[in-house]
This record gives sequence, structure tokens and C-alpha cells, in this order.
Amino acid sequence: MRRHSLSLRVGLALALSVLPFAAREQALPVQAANTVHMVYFPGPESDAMSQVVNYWNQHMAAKSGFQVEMDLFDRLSSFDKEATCLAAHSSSEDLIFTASYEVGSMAHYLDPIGHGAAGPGGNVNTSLFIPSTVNSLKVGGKLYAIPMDVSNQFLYYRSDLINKLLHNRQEQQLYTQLAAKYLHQHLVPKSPANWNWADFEATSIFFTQKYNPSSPTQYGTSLQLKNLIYNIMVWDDLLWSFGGSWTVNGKAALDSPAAKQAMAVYDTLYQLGCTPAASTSWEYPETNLAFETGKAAVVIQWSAAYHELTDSSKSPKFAHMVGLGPVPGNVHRTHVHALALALNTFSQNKANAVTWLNFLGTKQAMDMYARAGGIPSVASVLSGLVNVHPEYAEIARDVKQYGFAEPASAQEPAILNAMANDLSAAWAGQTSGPQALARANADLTKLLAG
Amino acid sequence: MRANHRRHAVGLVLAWIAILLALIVFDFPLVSTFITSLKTDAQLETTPPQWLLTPTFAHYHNVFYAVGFNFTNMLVNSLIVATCASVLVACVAFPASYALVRLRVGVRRLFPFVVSLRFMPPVVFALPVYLMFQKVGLIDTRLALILVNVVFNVGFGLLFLTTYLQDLPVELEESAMIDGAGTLTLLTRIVLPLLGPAVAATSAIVFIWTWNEFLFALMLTIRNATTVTVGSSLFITAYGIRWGDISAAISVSILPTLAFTFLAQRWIVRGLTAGAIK
Amino acid sequence: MASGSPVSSPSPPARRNVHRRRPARNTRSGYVLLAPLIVLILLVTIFPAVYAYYMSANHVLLSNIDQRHFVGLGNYADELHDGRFWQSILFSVFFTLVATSVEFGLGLALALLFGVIHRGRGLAISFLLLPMMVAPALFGIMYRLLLNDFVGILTYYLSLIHVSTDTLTGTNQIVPLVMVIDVLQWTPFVFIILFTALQSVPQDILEAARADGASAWRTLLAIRLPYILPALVVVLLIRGVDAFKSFDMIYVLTGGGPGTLTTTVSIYIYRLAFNTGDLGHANAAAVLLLVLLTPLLAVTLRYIIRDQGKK
Repeated sequence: MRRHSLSLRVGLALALSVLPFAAREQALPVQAANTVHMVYFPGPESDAMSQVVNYWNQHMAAKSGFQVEMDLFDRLSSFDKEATCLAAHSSSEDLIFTASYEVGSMAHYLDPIGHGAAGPGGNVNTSLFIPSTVNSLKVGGKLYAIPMDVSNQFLYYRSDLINKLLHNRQEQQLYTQLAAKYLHQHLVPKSPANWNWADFEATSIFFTQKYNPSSPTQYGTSLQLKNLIYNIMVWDDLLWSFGGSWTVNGKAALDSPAAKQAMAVYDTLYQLGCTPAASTSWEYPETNLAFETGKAAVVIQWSAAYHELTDSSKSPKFAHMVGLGPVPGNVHRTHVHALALALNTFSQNKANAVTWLNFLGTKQAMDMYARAGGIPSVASVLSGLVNVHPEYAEIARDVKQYGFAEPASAQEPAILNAMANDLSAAWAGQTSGPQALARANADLTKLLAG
Repeated sequence: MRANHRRHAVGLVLAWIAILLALIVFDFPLVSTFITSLKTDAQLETTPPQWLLTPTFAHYHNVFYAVGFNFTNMLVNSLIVATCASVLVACVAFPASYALVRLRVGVRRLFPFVVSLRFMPPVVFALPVYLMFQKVGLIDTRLALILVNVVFNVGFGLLFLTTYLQDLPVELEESAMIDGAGTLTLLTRIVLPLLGPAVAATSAIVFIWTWNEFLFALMLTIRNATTVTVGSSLFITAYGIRWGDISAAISVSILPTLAFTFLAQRWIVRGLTAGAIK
Repeated sequence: MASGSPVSSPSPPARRNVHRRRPARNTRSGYVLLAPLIVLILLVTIFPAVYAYYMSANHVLLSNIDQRHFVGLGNYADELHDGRFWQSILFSVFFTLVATSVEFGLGLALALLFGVIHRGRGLAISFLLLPMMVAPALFGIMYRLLLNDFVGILTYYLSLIHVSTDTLTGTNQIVPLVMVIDVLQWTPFVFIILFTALQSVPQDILEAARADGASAWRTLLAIRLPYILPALVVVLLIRGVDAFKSFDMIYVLTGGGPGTLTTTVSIYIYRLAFNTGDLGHANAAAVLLLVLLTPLLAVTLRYIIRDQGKK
């Protein structure tokens, strides 16, 4: 008993002695007195940006008098974390990582930049970037961030399977039969570049084993139906391709016929079982897995996936069978957003931050970024790298021709959130499409009213 | 007698079978996650799943040497924050529980308030706590995380220790008081040894909870005081979850907690069985 | 030193909780002992508590926090009328009741089982506790991969015994699924609390019962369980509250969906605070939550502290 309490006391004393060290963190290596702190997304973007940052710190830091440091905020909650810091008027980050769909809600805490802006932000030169991506970062006519990575969606298809379909008479007959039976339309296989949504549906049915036992893929497609704002950005492609939009003349328009058509496509595919039942909790990673394991033949997926799907170390079986096409529709439409860097209005280091932004706005920096894996919003850089990244040409073309961005506003994240809540219920068959749209429309109206 | 022994042996075997089954159900996912961390990205995606393979340590390499953050630093941070928080909870809750149970002070208002702190979703406290710590310059410090974790877990410590304290017969303390012992001696010499296992159990559990705490570790740190849990989440990229890397991160993050718990539980069980035989 | 078993001992309980006025010295000592706790609480929680109440009475958005105006109880009224708030509470209650009951049953069973074995017990305990050592968010991610239709290891083995994942992760099964995952993570917690409690039952009471000829089952029901009743209450309370507040694991797995099928109160408040950016309503919802849960808290605590000398 005595030994018991003694060892306890000793243990406690030892443990308590650790406490004074609690306040002293490991100091990071000595930095230049002036450091520009920039938030960035962990992942391929930060991997690429680190090359640019290293280059600057090694070659340009001495001359300019400041170093650059990248702070990684985890992806799921980075915007929430930044929102907390900004609401608390923190100056710990000079450059805020944002996106076209977030910048509206952060604008109050950011300095306008670019031509015509007052203050140090006015010195930022944005002429290098694709104009539509720059415009997607404007709120109320003022620009708040420079675009870094541009993101859009594509139709990815198994080129081997589609090629076979296009040349095989028997398969074509079966295709037409299935289309007539389940879609009540007369359809024949077409080249993916010309698909509308009926073609997408028909192809999905054709490649679903439930209807075509000889299909090499178990499912025709893999939809992204999780309650997530990014999945609304995918669904928006359908909305716009049918001619709809969030608002018409400032009024909420989510109950339009176009919106109902958009919901009907998802509904058809889900009810028919052309997408796995579990896809109601799926998003980007699962869609890739479905393609890589040969379980889905055609998918709508983000542009960043091309790199992974064609990487034979990650997708050994089908890396060389990835076909790329524009998102289907009578009118092709793809959501476009840019990940971007904005100037924190509470920053104590604005002059240097602006210098850094201007360096990022040079062809040299963006070229370095692209070679390291980023997808910068610079047409000349994208087209210059088609040998290494063939999809960059498609990205540049699709963004220019078919790109569409939701109107940026302070409510945009809230709107996306409400739509995700409301529409995902219908995607999972819990409520009907029109009912979900009515609810979303009501929410949108409330949010627009402020 | 022999029948009794046989029945006892059979009971033992049956118990072990049930326990092994339970261990499989609860731990198989973790074991396969560990194996996953040793697979290449391509191997990850093959079915049926492979068990015999030449391990690749690429994912562990990614975890420790990934660009932009220092996993070793995060491990140290987590260790310090969790240890200090668990020790502090024990140090604060122990005397407090004595006051609550034996001296009946603070039972009506303080006790419920402290426990009610655990009822609130932490998210509502995120912004004001951030503001508060920002004012005193404690953002991105381990001390901030320690304080927050202590406050939100001390309620559990109180609940647990008051429960155990009530089971202790008052006679020992009363006779010590008659012998002229002061409160401090009473606490450290008489009560603490008896309550030791409960204190250790409390510490172990608070350690685990603090280690796994996410929201405040996310909001209150920037680059210096980031913990392992937040760091591991950096492998969740919206464009692809690096399954292999995150499996490695999970495997690594379990190890210190496993070690701590192993030590603590040996102490708890030994202490408990010793204490029950009076 | 028998504390007096209510079943077998003929003599009256060794001590009663005689209510006597607290000597002044005791009150002073009491406050001294409580001082560290009080200081800590005052330092860290007063400001956030006041802030939460203040914000709940204002119309204030995260995107423009400096512009707010007073709305009194308006946010509270809105929340009370919001079907989605009540829906999330209902789901949280349902989730809590089911998950906690299962965890309690399994945890108790395991605690009893572990009481039987001796050698190797320490190692087995450490391994059983493994699931709770993984951060809940990471635990969710882990199962997301394990249950994936195409590459999930669990999926594969379950398919061998003819349980398809369509029946696991389809919309109709998502609610049971998140409950199962919660059980898999937190049963070990219930186990360790109940195990330590069971181990602390004094040997002499058990021996007396055995000498009286009581069977193991009767000993369990009449002596051991009543003895650990406070621990049972504590573990149910803690586990219940934590399950009610579930956020990380479910959020990572389903985002609160499909639709709002798995939206717990925490997810509801989080999305309200950060995605919609409406701090006024989010804080009001949190305060309402506290108000709803307080009676339960009060009852439980009164039981725990009052239960003295009931052996």
C-alpha cells in the first residue's frame, strides 16, 4: 500500500513537471523576419504549389526581402476554419485560400484586388488568367481573388467498350431495344462527343448487367449523390444543359421544367439501378474507384480525375482506356470554378503579399505550377503542356466554350448547402423530384431575401 | 470437486471463444487497415483482397515526409496535449470530487454546470473560444488545447470519481480524522491510494478522448500546435482520398494511445483487484 | 470490512447517511478543494457561454459578423418552428437510444466474460480497446473504404456469407449502418467502465454469497449489478450524451444524408453555423438543446450524488 501511494506521488510529480513545457512549441526553423503566410489546400494543389514556393524562397526571397510559407488547412473544413479566423479578425494568414463558390461569403473580410481597386490590392495584375475564371471571382463587380486551379467536369468513358459498341451491329440492336423498352425513345449509339442526356441514360442501361448480362461492367454509371455541395455543382450541369438556372430575373427558379428534367435523369438512373444503391453516399473518390475497378462504364466526374484514372500505377487495368468528352446535353454545359487566393483585409503584410501574388501571375510561375501538377487558369500554359497532360487542351476548350458559373454572392455557400440537403433526398428516392425542387426553391427564395 | 473444476475449465474455454470472436469483430477492420497501409495503390483496388504481399512503406513515407507539414511534430503535440490534459483532469477532479461527495459542497449548482458542458455540441464554442484565446495570444499553442480539453472532460472525471468515492466506506477517513489528520493528509494518504485505479481509468479515457479531439484542434491551431488527428485529415483531399496514406496515418496514430492504455490498464486492474481484497 | 450486503447480511447497514450540518471547517476545505475546478471553469467557459447567449439573440451572419441587430427571442421562435431542427433532434434521440442500448448490452456481456478469464486478460483488454483509440472522423473514413462496394475488404468477406453491401449501404440501411459503426467504436468504452466497476466489488461479499449457496446468476443479479449501479448510470449518461452529440463519424460517412436522413443535432447546428453561416440561429438551436437536455441531467446527477450508503 505504501509503495502504491509513493509511486503514485512520484508519477504525479513527474507528470506535473511536464506542464511548464506545454506552452513552448517546437519553433520552426528560423524564417526571414518578413514572411507571407498563405493558406493552401492539401493534396495535388499544395504539392504543385510547394515547387513554386520553394523556387521563390531559394531564388527570389533575398532580393525581395520576404519568404513565403504555405499553411495547409484540411480540405473538408478549411473554409470553415478560415471563416472562423476571419470572423475573429485574425491577421495570422495574409493570403486566404478560397474558391468561386466561397468568395462571396468571405468578401466582407477581403481586400478588393486588381485594376481599379483601392489600397495595395490595386497593384495586382490579373491579365494572365482566363477572363471567365477571373469573372467568377467577382462579387458585386469587384474582384477579390486571383484564380489558381480551374476545375470543371467531363464525361469519362471506357473507350474500349464504347468503340466496340459503335462498331458492333448486335450490340447496337440491343442498345436500341433497351432504350425503347426503358426510355420509350428511339436511340442509336453515338460518339460521346455528341451525347445528350438520353444517350447517357441509354448507354448506362446498356452497360448495366441487370439489363445486359453480357456487359463487362456491373453498372452503367456511378453517380455522385451524397449530400454534399460539390455534388450540386455536378447536378448543375444537367440543370443548365436543359436551359435552366438558379434564378430568373432575380427570382428563384428551381421549380422550372428544366430543373424537373434534370432531376428526372438522376431519378431514372437510380430507380433503374444503373448506379449502385450505395452511391447515395458517394462522391469523387468512389466514382473513381468504380471506374478503376471496371464496375462502371461512363461517369460524370471532375477534371482532376483524369490524372488519376490514366495513371497506370493507380489504375492498372484501364489506365489506357479512358475516353474524355464534354458533359452530355443538347447544349453542353460544365460547372467551372476556380480555386483562388485572396488578400486578407486584416493582414499586416499586404505589400509583400501583393508582390507574391504578382509573381504567381507570371507565366513562369504558372508554368512551374502546371508542370508540378497544378491546373492553372492560364490558356497558354494549359495548351503548352498537352504532351504531358493531354486533358489540358480539353479543359481549356471546355472551360471556354461550355463553362458556366453560379452567380457569386454572399449566400452562395448557403444556397449550395440548402440545395444539397433538399435535392439529395430525392436523389435517394426519399421524396419525389418535384417535391424536392419545391423545397429547394422555397429555401432559395428565403436566402435571396437575405 | 472434479466436476466443479471441469465446469470451470469448460466455462473458461467458452469465455475465451466468445472473447476471441469479439476481438475479431472489433479489431479485424483495424488489422485490415494496417495491412492496407502496406499495399500499393493498385493492390488496394484488387478483389479478392490480398493478405500476403511484399509490403511497401511508401505510405508511411508520405505520412512522415509529406510536403507542408511535420508529422513528427504533430505526434509530439498530440502526446503532450493528451498527457497534460489527462493529468490535469485527474488533479482537478480528484479533490473536487471529494468536496462534492464528502463535504457536500458545490453539489447543487457547480456539479451540474460542469457536466452540462459536455452536452453542448463543441461547434457553438468554436468561435468564442477562438476569440478568447486570440485576445490572450494563445492561438496555435498547446496550452490552449490543453485548457479546452480539460474543461470539456473534467465533467466526466467528476462523474466517475464521485461514483467511486461513494463506494468507499467512510470509516477509514473518520478514524484518520479522529487521529488528527488534516484534509490534505486525508486525501493523499487515505483516499488517493484507494481511488487510484479510478483515477488511472479516468486519465486513460481522457487521454484517448483528447488524442482524438478534432474540432478545437482544428480551429485553434495553425502550424505549430497541430495534432495528429488534424494532420491525418489532411490526407482527405476532396479530389481523391489517399486511402493508403490515411490508413498509414491511422495506424501510426493508434500506437501511442495503445501504449498508454496498455500501461494504464495493467495498473488499473492490478490496483482494483488488490483494493477489493481488504 | 463488509459494507453490508442487502441480501445476505442480517445486520443493519454499517452506516447511514445521517444528515448533519456541515462544520464550517468543512465548507472552507470544500471550497479550497474546489478552487482549481472553479478557476478553470471561470477562465474558459464564462465568455463562450455569454457569447453564445448573446449571439442567439441577434441576427448575425458569419460572413459579416460585425453587422448584427437584436432580435430578442426571434431566433428561438424560428428554430422551434423549424421542422428540420426537430427532425435532427428526433434522429439524435433515436440514434442514441438504439446505439447506447446495444453498446450497453454488449459491453456488459463482455465485462462479465472478461471476469472469467485470467491469463492473457491484460493483452485482450488492450486489444479490445483499440477501436476507441481511433479518432471518430478517421474511424468513419476507415469504414468508408472497408465497406466500399468494389474494393471494400469487409464487403468481400460479407459477400462470401451472402450478405451483399447493397443491403448494407443502400439508402434504407444507412441509418442502421451508422449505428453499427458507432457500436463498433464505443462498445469497448462501456466495456472498460463496467469491467472496472465489476472488478471493484469486494471479494468478501461475493464469498459470503457463495457460502450462502447463491448461484453465479443470482449473485450477478442480486449483488454485483446493484453494487455497480452508479457506474452503470454514469456510463449510460456519458455514452448517451456523446452519442447524441455525434458528429465526426457520421459527417464523414454520409454528410448527414441522404437528404437529412442521418443528420444529428450536431450536424444540423454545424451546417447552420458554417455552411449557411447563420450564427444567430445556430446558437439559439444550441441553447434550446441545452434546455431540452437539462432535466435529464438534473435527474441523473441527483441520483448519483444521493445514492450513498445504499449498499
